[in-house]
Amino acid sequence: MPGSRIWELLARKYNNEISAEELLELGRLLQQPGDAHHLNELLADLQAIPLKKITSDAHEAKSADALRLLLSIDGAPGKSGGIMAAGQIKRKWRYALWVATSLVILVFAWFMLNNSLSETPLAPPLNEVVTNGGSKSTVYLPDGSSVILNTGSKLSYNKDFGAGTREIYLSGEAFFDIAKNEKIPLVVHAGEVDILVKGTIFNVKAYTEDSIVETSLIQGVIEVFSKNDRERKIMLRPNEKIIIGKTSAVSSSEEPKHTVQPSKEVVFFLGKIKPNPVDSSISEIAWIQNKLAFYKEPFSTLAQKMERWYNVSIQFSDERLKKFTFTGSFEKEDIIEALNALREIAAFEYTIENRNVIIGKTKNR
Amino acid sequence: MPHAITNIAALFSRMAAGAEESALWELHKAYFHRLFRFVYAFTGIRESTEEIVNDVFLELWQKRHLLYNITKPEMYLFICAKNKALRQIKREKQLTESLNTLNDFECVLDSTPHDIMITTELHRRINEAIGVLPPKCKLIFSLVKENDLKYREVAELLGLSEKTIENQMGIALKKLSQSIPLSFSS
Repeated sequence: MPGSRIWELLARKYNNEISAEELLELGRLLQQPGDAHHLNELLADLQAIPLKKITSDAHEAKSADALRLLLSIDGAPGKSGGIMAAGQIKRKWRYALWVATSLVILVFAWFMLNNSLSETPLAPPLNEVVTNGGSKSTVYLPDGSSVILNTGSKLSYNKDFGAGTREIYLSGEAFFDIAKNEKIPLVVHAGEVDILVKGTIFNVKAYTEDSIVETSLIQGVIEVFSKNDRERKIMLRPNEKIIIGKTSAVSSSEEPKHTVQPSKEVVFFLGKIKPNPVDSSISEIAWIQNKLAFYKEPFSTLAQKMERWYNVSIQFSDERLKKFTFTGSFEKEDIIEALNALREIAAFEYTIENRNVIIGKTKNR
Repeated sequence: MPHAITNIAALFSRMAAGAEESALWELHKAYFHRLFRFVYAFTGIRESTEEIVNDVFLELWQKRHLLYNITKPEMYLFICAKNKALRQIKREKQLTESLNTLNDFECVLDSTPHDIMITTELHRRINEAIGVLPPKCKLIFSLVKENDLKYREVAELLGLSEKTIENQMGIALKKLSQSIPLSFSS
């Protein structure tokens, strides 16, 4: 049996790192007939045959897809990187989404029909909390979790919440501080999105009139699912947020007959929660401290927030004004003070009449 | 190395020069599985491995303007992957001696049509022999085998001496040759 020197030299030979002298030395060590031949053959074979991949092609494709999604959000060429200039998931699931949506609608319609005939209660009884007219509400759930409900929102949960299941339905915006319970996972159903939670702090914004569901995670881990494709889940880490665009199917659920029609794209935006550099407030959850905060926010979406915040309606007479972006926060300011503050930054005029605000271009400048 | 090596340096400069996304996808195709095996040896969890590997490519893309100056692109990829893997492990398990707690991973020769010299039986024996190598030895073997890395570079990557890498590689070759009927493999 040759000593360890021979294997050291063979190792060098294998990786083409052997010197001319070492090669001669190896030749001398491999004196026994047959040895050199066998070993050379082994090395050649080892070099020629690649290792079997540890991952499948499908796995590789999945990674590429995930990467494409991330890239489309984060600095891909030609993308502006604006708030909804986000990635668009094309692939097969646009079709799957439609099939699934149509099925859900059909099943729902069938149930409703059945239900109205037999008059038996369909869903388990729910507790319901509704906020409107600028008010907020804190809800304490039976399992020790608490939820702060923003204005214009509705939260419902099963009557036996915490005993067997923890299911919460939300339309509007809420800040969740969920008690940890590994055995009974908690699911928040918001628009087209399901969020699986084990014990954590996060914010969900899912107003029906917005076309998006925005989930921001402050602490812990949550998994966000699209209702129509349970396979596709996205795990959020602290200080990440995801915005998922709804399809038009959601708002037209009263028409159970249509099967396939041109769909709106499902849009994703995955981003970081950034504290406002001015006062380090986090705009996503500033509302729970009675603040309306915004960070590089286009006027168009800021106006939507202000509509809810001040219970007014805001219209633009000039579309170009929607593109202004603002960073800041309002706390005690009324709508007039707020608009005046914005006018310090950008040139526009406004008129207010019966809670209707019209924003237009400056005339005299 | 006889098997096809992607010209990674060219891909790097293409990415740096014109923000060519296609270069990233070529790179992904060529290195996804290799980085996966490498990172998996550290984490032992497929899900987090995937995240880490994706993260490597993402960061590569985000820092593409810096890729001009990389002299050893392959090393850059693996070092980047290792750093991310160790950071993740430290976060999750608070391990420092991560190289001693490497996870076992799958590592077998592929069955290719051109392995005329190696019979099915030999193929099986070699794979068995690779299979029972200690994880550290196996990791070194797979890194050397699959990539264009010098022993010095593997040493740098794993924080070991070049001598150790050569020894481990020698041990791997010895075990493999002992698995097949060579005249002196007593």
